[in-house]
Amino acid sequence: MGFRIAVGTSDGVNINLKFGEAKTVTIYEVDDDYNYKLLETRNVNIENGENCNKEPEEKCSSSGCNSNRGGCGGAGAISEKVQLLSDCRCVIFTKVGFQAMKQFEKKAISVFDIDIEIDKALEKIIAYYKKVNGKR
Amino acid sequence: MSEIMENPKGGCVLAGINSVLSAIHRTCPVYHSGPGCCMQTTAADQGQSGHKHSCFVSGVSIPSSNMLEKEVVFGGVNKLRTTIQGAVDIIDADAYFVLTGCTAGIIGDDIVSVTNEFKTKGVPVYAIETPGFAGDSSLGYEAIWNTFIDQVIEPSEEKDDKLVNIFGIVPYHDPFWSGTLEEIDRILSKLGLKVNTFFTKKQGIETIKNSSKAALNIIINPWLFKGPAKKFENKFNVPSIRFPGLFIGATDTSEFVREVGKALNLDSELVEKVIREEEEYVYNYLAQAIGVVSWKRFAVVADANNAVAFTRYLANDYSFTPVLVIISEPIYRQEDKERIIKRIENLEYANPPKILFLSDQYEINEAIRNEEKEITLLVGSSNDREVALEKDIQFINGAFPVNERLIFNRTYAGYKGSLTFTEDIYDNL
Repeated sequence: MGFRIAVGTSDGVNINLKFGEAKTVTIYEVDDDYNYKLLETRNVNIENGENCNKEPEEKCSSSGCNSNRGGCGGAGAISEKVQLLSDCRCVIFTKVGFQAMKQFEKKAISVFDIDIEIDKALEKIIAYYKKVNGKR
Repeated sequence: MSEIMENPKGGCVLAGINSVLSAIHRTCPVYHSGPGCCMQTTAADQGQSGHKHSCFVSGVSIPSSNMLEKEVVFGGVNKLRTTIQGAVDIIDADAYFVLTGCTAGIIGDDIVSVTNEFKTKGVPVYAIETPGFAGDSSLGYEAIWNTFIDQVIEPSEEKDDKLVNIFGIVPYHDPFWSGTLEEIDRILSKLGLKVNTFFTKKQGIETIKNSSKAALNIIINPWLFKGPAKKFENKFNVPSIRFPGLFIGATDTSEFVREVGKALNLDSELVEKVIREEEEYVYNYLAQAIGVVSWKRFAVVADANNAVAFTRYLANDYSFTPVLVIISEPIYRQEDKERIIKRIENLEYANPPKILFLSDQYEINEAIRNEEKEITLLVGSSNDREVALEKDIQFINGAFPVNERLIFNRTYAGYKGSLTFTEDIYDNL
């Protein structure tokens, strides 16, 4: 069965976005023969969560506030963003914050934070999944 | 060769390497492995070895690259580099050794190129390329010595004819290692020798570097260290003698002293004088409490080294009757098995015991349970206590793993150790 991989990229060549700052995520689809193709560019821009309309001091003391750089969102905003990628088997960004990583892990989605070209990354990940699947 | 073993005694290669490095003064292992290996390998040997741990780095304090899925897919070399740098920054050690876990071994990370980067900067970082799955703790002992011989020990033209290296006692895998090495050191020092035990007297990486100056390698083990001994001899021209098993009590220890004396051409008068003094010391005590322990029919469950020692002491020196000896570590070479059997069967006057090579706890228990002859004393590990309780026989916890006693410098080996062992037999009545 095929699967999908989410990639954080601004130019379509390199993985160069952090999860927190990505407003769009590129989705690749891998078919049964482990060939991949670009599926879509998905909009994942979530408006700031409710508790982030407060003053900065308040923000940090309030529960569930996650001070990710490049777009503050509460825990709620992160789950919402993670939910939008819940059909993927793994996600690749240059950096994924701790909260988001936990959320992905809960959904059994693998997180890779790495800074290389998309083609190289996909090649390696697909080769890996091919071996893992073969074992099952 | 894959089979399931219940309660294996010891751990993987990493456990053996970690045990050795922990016992060497101021050396730091760096794990290139998954998270958990540091804890598990420390628990496998040090954690079951009389509650004694390395106080420099051990368990959770060992630096580890904690490889996860990302490192499996994209390679873990970068993470290893930062881990080593972190270890060098934080831990003030004389040498660092990078150990390869199963994960790193399978994906084939090039750890040598990373350690070379540090070496060119002048930081003593060495790579050990034997992955964890390659074998057990005993192989770890050989793997780390192979690494020392290949990378650490410096060749030396001049030899010190009074310097000897001791091999065959695996730290932590033998719970009595430090006391045993101290006793061997004490006896050989009386012969005027300088002794490299490597793990006591705060001997560190410098001692290892200069160990090629030794006149003789003394291997105290019936089977371990075959490959490294040969390598050591070829590379550094240091011959080795093998004493096939640890020695407890006057008979075997005197034999050991005479063999060392012969191999080094020591003054035989001095050798005999030392033996006389030591034997007098032991027999003087034994004479004062002769017969306090009644005659026993005994069984031994231990690693080969200690099984030889216990059987021979109790049969030859203490005239107990040997019934059953179980060698509880995996031994593969037929020549090694034969050497062990020969040493155990060649007793002064007792009938040779039944000898079994079993490492599975279920099989060990069954062998003791179903032994037709009566057994009234069992010398074994904490794992064998249960069957001793079940059969209601006297039990001495004298072999790895030892979970129920604290061991600092206690030993059963040598002249003085035999007195301790005899005390313990009485203690456990």
